[in-house]
Amino acid sequence: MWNFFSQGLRPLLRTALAVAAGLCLACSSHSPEEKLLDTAQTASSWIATLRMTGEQWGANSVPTSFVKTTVKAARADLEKEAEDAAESKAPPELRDPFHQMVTEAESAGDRLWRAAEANDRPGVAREVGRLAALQAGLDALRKRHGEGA
Amino acid sequence: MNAKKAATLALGILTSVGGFFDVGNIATSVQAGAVFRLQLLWPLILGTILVIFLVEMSGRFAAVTRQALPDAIRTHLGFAAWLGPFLILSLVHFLVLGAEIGGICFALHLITGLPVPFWALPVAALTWLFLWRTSFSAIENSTSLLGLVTLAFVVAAWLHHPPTGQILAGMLPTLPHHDPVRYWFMAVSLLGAVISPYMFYFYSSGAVEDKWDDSYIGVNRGVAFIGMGFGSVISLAAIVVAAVVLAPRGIQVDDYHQAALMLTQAFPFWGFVLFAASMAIACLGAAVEVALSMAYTTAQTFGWNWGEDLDPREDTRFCLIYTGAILGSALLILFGVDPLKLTLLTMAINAAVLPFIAIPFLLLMNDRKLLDKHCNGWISNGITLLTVLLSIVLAVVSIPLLIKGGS
Amino acid sequence: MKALKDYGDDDLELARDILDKQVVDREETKMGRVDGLVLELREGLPPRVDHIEMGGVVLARRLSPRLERWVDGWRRRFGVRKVARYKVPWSAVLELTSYHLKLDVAALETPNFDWERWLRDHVIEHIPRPLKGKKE
Repeated sequence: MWNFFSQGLRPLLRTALAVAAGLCLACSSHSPEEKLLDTAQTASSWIATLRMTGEQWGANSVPTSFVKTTVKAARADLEKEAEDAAESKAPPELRDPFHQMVTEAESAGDRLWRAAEANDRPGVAREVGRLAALQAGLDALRKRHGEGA
Repeated sequence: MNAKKAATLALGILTSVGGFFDVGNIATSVQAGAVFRLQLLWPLILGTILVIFLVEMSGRFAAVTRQALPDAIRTHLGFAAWLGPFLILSLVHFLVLGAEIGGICFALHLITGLPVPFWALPVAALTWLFLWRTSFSAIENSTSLLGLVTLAFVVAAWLHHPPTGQILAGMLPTLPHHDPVRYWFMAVSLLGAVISPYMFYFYSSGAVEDKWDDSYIGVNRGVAFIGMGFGSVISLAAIVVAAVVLAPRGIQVDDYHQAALMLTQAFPFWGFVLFAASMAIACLGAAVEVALSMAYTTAQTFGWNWGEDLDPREDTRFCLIYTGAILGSALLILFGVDPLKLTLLTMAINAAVLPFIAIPFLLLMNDRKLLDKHCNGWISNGITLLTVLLSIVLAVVSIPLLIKGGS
Repeated sequence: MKALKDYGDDDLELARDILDKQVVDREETKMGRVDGLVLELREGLPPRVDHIEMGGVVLARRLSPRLERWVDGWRRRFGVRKVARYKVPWSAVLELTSYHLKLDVAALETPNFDWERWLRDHVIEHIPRPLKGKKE
């Protein structure tokens, strides 16, 4: 039985590594534009999250502490995406508006949290609206540059 | 079937349903639903069919031979053959335990706002205390019955009136419309979450703890088919809810915070609490089981005294293993490892190592000397051969996917 | 469940039926596994089983001699066991079944339980214990 293990598995492992290497090569060719579009999808997802968090806070479905921690988590990710955008070699007509939108989303998130802490319902609703507009803008940008929404 | 067996069957089904959902199912189901809507139901269905058969075999083996799997594999296949799978299984145990502890910590973070790493040691202490103080049946029954709270996902799915046509379509394998690398990575992770290798090993030790004999074969079959079958409906519901609530808003799940919103639409106000409670209870139950499973496997491999119902004075090394495992894996969370990323990585590893864990088991299931007339029939063998082949394909495919898709 | 006397007509295979088998003491407390078998070679006579061996060092040797030296070195420096290999003569075997090999010893007095005793005396004694135990 041990023989089956050692003799059967060795050629199998060799094949596995070959396939793995092949797949890696096939997958690793991504242009800077494609990479930035991937990043844009994650950013759009976080903006949508902040939007839904604000909406649900308004509906008394989530506590204020959740708004705080979610904004914090979103910030960490959005900051990283802003950095990626700044360093990206993608064409400026994609890179610059994206960078601007991400930065605006970060500030909208901050204002959202502060409004929630102050129990400022209209304030939260305002930021939710702003985030919705940002998300729509980002999705339009992505569509223009070839990525499906 | 007499009243006692019927009660065992009923309890077994309830505990399987309540105990099915764990951090791996949560993470993979919610992500799959959020990104690919209802398209990835088929890995869940496929995985469930396979795990039902694996669990049934594991229970049957333990009931007939009165031995748990690690015990039997070392005894009948020898130390050298078992060493490799044993080390792999131990690694899997360790990582899954870390992921489960991470899940409990995140749920507590949701409720209190205190950071995830803060909860690592308290959660480790709670998990340890559970194992230290309670008997096997008390553990199984309490966490799994409380785990029925995860049925909230099923209720939520039903309340959303999802399109049944799409659900049925999603149960058949289809090619992805977008992002193929991510699609296959999620399919592999879903399978890894459902066919968790530690589960059928743990199940056999549990059967020995419960002192099953071959009169329990019918009960075992019922628990495996009905319990696991209904349990997977909860995962299915999680995919559906994520598909109906998160996907249309464009929310992917790169972080557990994004998942926490998913029940708030179906249950205004209570949705948030139900999500946190589901996560905390499901992960606690699983953490306790995984720690126990690691202790069972190690103790049986080396022939030490073992048993959750024994006084710790009588099986000190057994207790040392679960203590060390809990503490060690909690350190992962304490030092800031992202719980969601840890979970997804672990699920992919689960899928990748399945052949090494399943093959020794299958060799034993066909040993006529051990099992006599309860040996595997052609259906069980067919399914298991399929599992082995599938798991080898998964193992090959998941390596590059891990590197590419996990990033 | 097959006992030693039932092996009469079948061949008793050393690797299949004895090696790696669960070892229990007089009270049927689990105390380890048959990690190794030592045969005695006799002039003009067939070899016979002299004693069984138990211990991590024995297991390590089955994998490689270098590993055996490493494990033994670890035991000397950090281990609690005083004796690397616990040798039990075949004459101490009370019963061999398909489940276990029963020895005429008390587990608590054997080197196998050195670690169990150490952990019990130095660690577990200091922790409040639950009220679970063997149910009669």
